[in-house]
Amino acid sequence: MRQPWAGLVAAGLLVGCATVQASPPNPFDHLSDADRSLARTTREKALESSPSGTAVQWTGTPPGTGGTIAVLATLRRADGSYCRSFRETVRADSASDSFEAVFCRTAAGAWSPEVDKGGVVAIQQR
Amino acid sequence: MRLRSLTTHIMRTTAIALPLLGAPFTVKMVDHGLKVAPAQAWAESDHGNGGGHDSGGDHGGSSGGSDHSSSSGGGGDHSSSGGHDDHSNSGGSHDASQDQSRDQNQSHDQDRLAQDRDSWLGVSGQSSSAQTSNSGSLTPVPQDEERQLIEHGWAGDDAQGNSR
Repeated sequence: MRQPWAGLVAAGLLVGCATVQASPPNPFDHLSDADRSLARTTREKALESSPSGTAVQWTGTPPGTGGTIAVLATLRRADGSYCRSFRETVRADSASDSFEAVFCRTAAGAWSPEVDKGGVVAIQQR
Repeated sequence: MRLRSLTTHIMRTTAIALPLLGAPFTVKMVDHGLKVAPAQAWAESDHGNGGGHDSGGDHGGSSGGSDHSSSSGGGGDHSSSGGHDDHSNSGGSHDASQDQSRDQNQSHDQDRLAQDRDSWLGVSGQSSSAQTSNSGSLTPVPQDEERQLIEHGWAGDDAQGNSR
């Protein structure tokens, strides 16, 4: 004999799954210009002066907004210039995104995203 | 042990509640707590323990009681999962176009997330600032060299390279 509440539970699960699939969390929708600037500064600082295996955090507003940049490795290109791979996590409004990227140091001393010959940025989603 | 304790607690609570509801019942002491031999209505509400409950009672009593009767409850779940099979069959009759539409929406959201991520990293619209090279040619830098770079600066290594 089927339980009367079983249908309700199944319906709830279906609605929950549909909700999750319909709108994956996107923290970038909830970040202010100040947060973006702070994150960029923190990333530059991490790439410039953090040893591989360490992480630097930034905290934005409102509470719960922030991110982490964990430097993974230092790499050298064929032309002798240096790059660094890192894993970055961004959190805002209960959403988060985590990904890996490679930035290389320019002659001007800035860190810029690495692009391969096909024009695809060397970023892997995590 | 916690499961056994919880099961015993539920059994005891049920044993108290059932007579208040006017349901006929008997209580048997088994090795590790109370075992309720319920009325039919209770058996139905217990996910189909019903049927072989008596034989299960003997079985549970001989080998550790409550846990075993819990697994017999699992059997009940299994029998009711037949009903779930029916349900999933009806789920299988969903219109394929709905699934396709959902997949497209999900793909669209993923694409947008990827674009936002690129923008976050300063990639989109700034291809001139992004550096183009063969990522496959990147080689790991030893830890000692990395430490020197951090301590003494990265300048002078770019483009010209090999200054260290």
